[in-house]
Amino acid sequence: MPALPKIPWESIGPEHRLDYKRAFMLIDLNRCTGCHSCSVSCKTEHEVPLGNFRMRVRYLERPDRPTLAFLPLLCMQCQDAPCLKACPTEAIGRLDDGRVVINDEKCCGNKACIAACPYGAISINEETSKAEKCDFCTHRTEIGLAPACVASCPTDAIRFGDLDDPQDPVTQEAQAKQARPFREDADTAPSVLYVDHERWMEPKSNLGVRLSPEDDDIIYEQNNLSSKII
Amino acid sequence: MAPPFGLQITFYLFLAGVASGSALVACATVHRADARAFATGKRCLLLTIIAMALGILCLISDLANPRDFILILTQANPHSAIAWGARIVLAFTLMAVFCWSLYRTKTRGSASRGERLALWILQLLALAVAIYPGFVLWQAEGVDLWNRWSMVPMLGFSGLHAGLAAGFLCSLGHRTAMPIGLLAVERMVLAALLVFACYFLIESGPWHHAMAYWALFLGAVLPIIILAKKPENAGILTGCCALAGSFLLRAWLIQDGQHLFF
Repeated sequence: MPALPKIPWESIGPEHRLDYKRAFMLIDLNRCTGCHSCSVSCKTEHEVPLGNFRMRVRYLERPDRPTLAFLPLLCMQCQDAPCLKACPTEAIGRLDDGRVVINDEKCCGNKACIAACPYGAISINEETSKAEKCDFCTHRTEIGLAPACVASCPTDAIRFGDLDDPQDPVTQEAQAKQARPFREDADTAPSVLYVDHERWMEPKSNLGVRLSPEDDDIIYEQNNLSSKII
Repeated sequence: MAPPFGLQITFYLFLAGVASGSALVACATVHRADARAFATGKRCLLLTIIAMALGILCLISDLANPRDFILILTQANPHSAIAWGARIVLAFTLMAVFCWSLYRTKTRGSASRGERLALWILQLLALAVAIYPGFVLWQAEGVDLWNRWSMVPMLGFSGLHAGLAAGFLCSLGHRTAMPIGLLAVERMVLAALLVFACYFLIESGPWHHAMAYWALFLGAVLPIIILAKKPENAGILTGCCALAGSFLLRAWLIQDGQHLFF
């Protein structure tokens, strides 16, 4: 095996890990501060055009107290992915570790996957007219680096691990904190689990990653931020 | 960022419905000895071909690259409703062209065994084209408004009714050119459309865009009232109403489906 590149400032643990039986992400909503570093690093990493997002953080007004909850949303890498079935050209496939990826060469941009995704995680790249979504940064994890959002999160709210490995500390944390998938009713066996995700967030977050400056989204409303945070 | 599905898809859904219904009218009339019926059948076959050609153009223009339409036809994903739909649409269009070529030079209706078989296949494909857009929308788990089983019969009956209405318009107002059985089919399709459209509107929520109610009124309620009153130009009036209602219904589904849930 060729020696791994030494990149000391970015690693996912004491050892670079390359093999995952089932890659997954654990998002601890108690730790998320809504700083957007995950969505910004994702856009930078993948050169996502203006207006598009592979990952974004929703600001939701809490029903129980006058403050905000932050909800990072991305592709859930479903084990029973509706997008995979909907794509007419088989452009969407699954890697051995369960990740759902889009093959640009085969994508015809007919948007069937967008309509099929219950999480609103797929969008059309307006520069290429092809579908795009989060793939847990395959190009980074295959050389032992953490996905860009994980590496950039200042509070460790987003962590990356192997759901089928009981020794994996992230898996153990997910079990200890009883992490649950988002929108369990969609019944798609997602590979993104949330800690302290509450039911009231689900209907409020159905705008997914497809938002525009015209939408009621705080990332475009920095001027009104103080009025939102009461 | 613009909504992913635009006006092209609205037009495609509308044209596919019109083509399927007018193909059914063509199959019922083009083999008849009556000159008016035969002429109506030929016009309906031509309308089917034109509507499908325009519809396929709309579909292709919505893709990232026009050549990708061939990719949809050749890359078989057996789980994808769109992949099956693309093949059905192409087979239907080719069959309509074939049937047109059979009757193009004839001056009166005929029904040899081969012609009957071709018309039967065209009928089956027309029904498939009427049903499958609703099925595709039903599969859209990401859009709450579309993800309902009632979408299939509603869009199916709406498309068939629009096509039948277009067929009656092709008869240039001579309802005598239509077989009595087809007139009965039109009434049944209209009644079924009204039932399923009402069910869909109630099931999908109490409040909708005004376009939805206009679609219901123009596409189903007004034609029923006109047919009950039976004025002299009932066929033309119901035809125009059905086409407008059918288009409005699709425009509403595409617009509100994305506006509310994307």
